[in-house]
Amino acid sequence: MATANYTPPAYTAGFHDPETYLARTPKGLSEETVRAISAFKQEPEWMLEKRLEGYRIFLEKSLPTWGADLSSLNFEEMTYFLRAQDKPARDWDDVPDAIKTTFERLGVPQAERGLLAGVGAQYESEVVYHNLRQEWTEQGVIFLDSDTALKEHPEIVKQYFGTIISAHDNMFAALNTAVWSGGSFVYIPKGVILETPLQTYFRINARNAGQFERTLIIVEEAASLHYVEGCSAPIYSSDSLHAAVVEVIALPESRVRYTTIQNWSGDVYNLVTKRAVAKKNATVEWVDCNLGSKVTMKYPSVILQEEGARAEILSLAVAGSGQHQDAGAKVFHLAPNTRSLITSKSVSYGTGRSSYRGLVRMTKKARGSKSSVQCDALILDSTARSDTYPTIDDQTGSAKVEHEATVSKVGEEQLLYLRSRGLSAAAATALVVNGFLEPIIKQLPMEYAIEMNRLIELEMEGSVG
Amino acid sequence: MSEVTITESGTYHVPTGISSYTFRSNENLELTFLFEDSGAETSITGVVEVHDEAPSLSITLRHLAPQTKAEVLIKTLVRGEGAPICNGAIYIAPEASESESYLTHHSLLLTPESKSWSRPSLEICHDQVKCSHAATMRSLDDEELYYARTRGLSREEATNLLVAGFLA
Repeated sequence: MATANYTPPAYTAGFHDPETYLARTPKGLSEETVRAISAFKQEPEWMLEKRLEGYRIFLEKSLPTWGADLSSLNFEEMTYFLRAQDKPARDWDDVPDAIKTTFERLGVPQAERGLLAGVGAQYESEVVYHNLRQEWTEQGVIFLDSDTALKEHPEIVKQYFGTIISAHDNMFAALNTAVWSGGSFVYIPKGVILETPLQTYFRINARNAGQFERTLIIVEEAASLHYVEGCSAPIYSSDSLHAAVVEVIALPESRVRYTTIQNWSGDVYNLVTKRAVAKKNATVEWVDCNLGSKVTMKYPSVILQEEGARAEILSLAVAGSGQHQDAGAKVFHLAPNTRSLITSKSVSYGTGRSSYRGLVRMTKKARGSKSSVQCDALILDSTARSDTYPTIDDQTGSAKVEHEATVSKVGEEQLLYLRSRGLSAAAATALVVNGFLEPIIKQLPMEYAIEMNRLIELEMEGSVG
Repeated sequence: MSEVTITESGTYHVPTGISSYTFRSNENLELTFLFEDSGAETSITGVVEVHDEAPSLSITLRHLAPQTKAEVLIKTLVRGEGAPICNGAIYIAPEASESESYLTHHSLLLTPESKSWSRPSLEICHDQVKCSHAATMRSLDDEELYYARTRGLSREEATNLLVAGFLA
């Protein structure tokens, strides 16, 4: 009985720069903290009201009783706001050297050279670098950090902020509403089709610095957007919390793809609420890759609100020793002839645990709708664990729903064949794992696909087959 | 080898030598199957047929010994304003190496007012196992109905034939 005994190599992006923050709130959360953040950002009154409401709801809510273990989160030990520099920069030359070094280690400049569009790089709680290609500005595309968007386009932010994910949704959405900082704001005007992806790269860099980005994406009628976010964080011994809220609004006939490559270091709690609403004939695609972090709880959702809307969710999770990836997807079919497709691939090794948790709901109005869910799990060690918790709720007599899940180990025959061709046990396993994940990885932009393959091979190093 | 017909909720210890369990129900049913004997193998088939009821069926398979094997097939047929719930859980303990467990749940909804819930789950704590679950939900296929009716069957006869096919 061959056991793949994985010892993941040291996390290569696990470095950190000295903390040189110019402004930060004291540890812990109180109404004063919330007021201080809002005052510091010179926000309009209505935003302060929203924050205070979020804070009140946060106090009423309790931690979820299902899913991953969150009992060691200590909300009093966290810093809720800090600022690396005074103003978001637009020019790469203005970005401080220490921050540049961080990005260089993560390969951001390559991505920039790679003819990719605007880079909104989130360093700590605020975006320090924002660059949007000239021609897009001319087309009316807005790509800003959320704080600046609130100043420059308050009417759009006010119209959509919190309309998809209210502060009442869950404890972490409430917390985010109270103390949010940074994140991206994207507005694509009617009929504008972006050929190259918009991307942002962000990371947590201060001990106990919680990051609470707030991302709002509005894609107008018949417009198209591919948004890419990549995350990486240095290793720290104390726990960090990342509780983002992402709201996507896809208006009729539009198309949105939101790609996440998440590689938090092994002490981060990643508790993110992501939801999109798709109007008539709109398509929303979430591509969600979860590597790293201590605990991830993330279920990208799509509300198919009008006829003909489509959702596609691709979820990839890799859980190594000490990690729990509780990922999944949710789709609500609220209108006739809507379609959804969910594909989940997970790998667990060492003492890692990966879970798929999903929901497909066909409401009464979802006549003629179809949904298909496919979950595949690979389990590489006898100490690893893999769970699948899908829920199907069909309230209409005329929809078609399919769900299928499989759990298996790497096939002995496959390994034997590859080893007979001269591959080492580790290389053979890595090849099989890469092949298993390939349907999702091939959906990533090329630079990210290469990075993902490299990361997975790195994880497989040290395996003895 | 023997066959067992289940009529009530309970915990069933699956010994080696019982080849199958069957049940048919339209009431609440909570069944737990324990695989504590190495090598125990069984198949479990159940039909839930409801008119206006909303019963809850919970099936839990706990594989606690090595080389245990289970195959579960549940069919839910919903008429009227029925709204049944089906929970199917497979748990593979760290000790249950080389076990196999498969769960399939098909629902057929016959009226626009009918509903169905399917909640399968897998919890796997070992790598030397094979597991899967699958769930489908659908209504009667218009084309199948049309074909049967072109052969001279009434709508009711055609429906009955397709339902019989689903349950077969």
